Amino acid sequence: MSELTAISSTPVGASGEQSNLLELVSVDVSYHRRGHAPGRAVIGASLTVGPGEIVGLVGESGCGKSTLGRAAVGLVAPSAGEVRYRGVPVEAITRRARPESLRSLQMVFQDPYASLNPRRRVGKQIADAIRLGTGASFGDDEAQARVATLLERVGLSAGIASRYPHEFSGGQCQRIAIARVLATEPSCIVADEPISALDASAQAQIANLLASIATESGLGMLFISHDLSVVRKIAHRTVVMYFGQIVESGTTAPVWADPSHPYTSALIGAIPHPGAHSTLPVELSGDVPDPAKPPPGCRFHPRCPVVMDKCRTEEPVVVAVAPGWSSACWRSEPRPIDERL
Amino acid sequence: MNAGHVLEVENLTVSLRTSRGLRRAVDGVSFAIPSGEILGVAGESGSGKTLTALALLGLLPAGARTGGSVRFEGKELLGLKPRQLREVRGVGVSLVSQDPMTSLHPMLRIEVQMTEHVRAHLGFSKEQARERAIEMLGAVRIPDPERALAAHPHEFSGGMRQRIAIAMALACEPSLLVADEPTTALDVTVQAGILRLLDRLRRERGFSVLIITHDLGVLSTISDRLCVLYGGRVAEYGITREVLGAPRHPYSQGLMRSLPAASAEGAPMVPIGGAPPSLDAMPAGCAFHPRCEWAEESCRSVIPRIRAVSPARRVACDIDPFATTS
Repeated sequence: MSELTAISSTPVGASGEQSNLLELVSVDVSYHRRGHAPGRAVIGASLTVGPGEIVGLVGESGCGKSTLGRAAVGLVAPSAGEVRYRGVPVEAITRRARPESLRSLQMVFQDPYASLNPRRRVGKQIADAIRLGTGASFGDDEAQARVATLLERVGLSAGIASRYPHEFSGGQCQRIAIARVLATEPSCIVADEPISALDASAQAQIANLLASIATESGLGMLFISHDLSVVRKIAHRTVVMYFGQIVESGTTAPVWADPSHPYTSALIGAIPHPGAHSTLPVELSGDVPDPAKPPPGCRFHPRCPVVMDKCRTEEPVVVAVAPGWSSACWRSEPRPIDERL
Repeated sequence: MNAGHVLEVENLTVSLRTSRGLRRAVDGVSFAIPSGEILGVAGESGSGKTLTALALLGLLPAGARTGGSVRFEGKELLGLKPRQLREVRGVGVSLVSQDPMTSLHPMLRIEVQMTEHVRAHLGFSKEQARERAIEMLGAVRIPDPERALAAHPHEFSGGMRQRIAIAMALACEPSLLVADEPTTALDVTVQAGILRLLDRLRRERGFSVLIITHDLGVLSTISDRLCVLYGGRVAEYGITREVLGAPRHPYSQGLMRSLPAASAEGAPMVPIGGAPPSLDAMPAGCAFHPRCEWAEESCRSVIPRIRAVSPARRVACDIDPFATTS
């Protein structure tokens, strides 16, 4: 994709990679608590999201994936590194109005009951978002028509605009929350665990909806999830985080077929596969370490099933496994062309 | 019925008081757990899966009414007085809940929590109870059990806390462990460890497990039998690998088809349309009919009777569109 767009009108070199909507470069996020050493939730994370592209960000709880997502939209300020949206630096959100250039960068949250206003009719909430997000001004009739279009876009009937969030199931509420995000005419969405609070049958519905929105409208999406099988299904690229660092990233299919980093292998092996011949999933021993006391060398080494002496003392360098595929492991090696699928 | 069954649930009903009157949330649920087996109960929100578990333990919310029969080791549990129930709960049947932070007391040391019920139920001395606690913590692979006893719950990770909750539930050697979404709050890597642990312990110690979850992946790896609930009723019941290998009820078929791994590479997932019904708006006839692509006129008015389609398999669907495939 990036090769294709690179040939287009923008002069190369003038403003870097124009093909990326969202760009995070060596982002660090630290949390400070009085009387404690600062905890580094994210360390040197770089990733990009292009138009029409879904990037899946996976990892265990506490690995920093949500923090990275919040940094991407400006909900937390990085302590180092840069976040750029369409080449413009993303500033941390303050009490002032968000600059117009950032209004099309939006977020979908995990719990739709918490992200919607319980005391405002859903139609009104969506109309608010149209006004605030696009700066358009219009009367009630116009608002009703626009809200109806948005509700239908997310698979709800226009007639529900006069109802309140508590009247809906979790899946329906998440659709309403997505309609409200679409009201701002976004070109990039960060979705933080958008399906994990939903019922089994609603999870597939919402994941499909988000995937179709990205591909049909050509908007970029950073899809943060601990559900690896859904990420495999809808993400074009997969980014794996462990303990604050990105350990592997690449095109979804080859990474899943034959991961280069042992942590990615462990995550995939732990997924239970439903079916007639299911076996117990593979356990990854140990816990994510205490953020205040990161292990020396590779941060994964205390849990790594293929640890070597070198891993205990030296931090691994990032290896280019193949073009667009990198892995931070001492065992990772570039793969010959014919093995890359 | 059968002497080899640790638990027999027959025609269980649970009615709850809602703003619109008494509503039946569990309606005629029957299943049995053979000794030493794991039964999985699958269902979405509102399916009645958690209420079924709470009914077994006599932990239903105030005002709930029950009907039918729940026999544990041949003894009827429904209608027992609180004092009689206390002799079963924790000793015969124990519970592991979804969030270990709610089942562990945050202010008490693990030792206090792990020995109190052992002393009360089994009449152990302080020393004996402490030894049992150390043994159980070792069995669930908590490193350094002695030190763990002196710690508070917040000092452990979520996975370790769930291990402690399991150790606590097993300390009185119950013959049935009820696990309500025991891994839903955990990461996949930690979940894998808990599932392996449950499977190993029940083999070593010979207890049975009733595990409740919406995650068919979890159930397919660990449960021997599977009970799929929808709208408070059993949709399908049978041996797990048979049910998941060839689901026969349109709802179980739909659940399997909606899983990410079920659809073809590059194709979108195939979800069931609509949402599960709420207690206040339970459809007439088959509760699944508004979402069912096979529904016929009769499904809108007639509640399908559950019937045996093979010795170990029961299905509640009058249309039975997958009869030939299974």
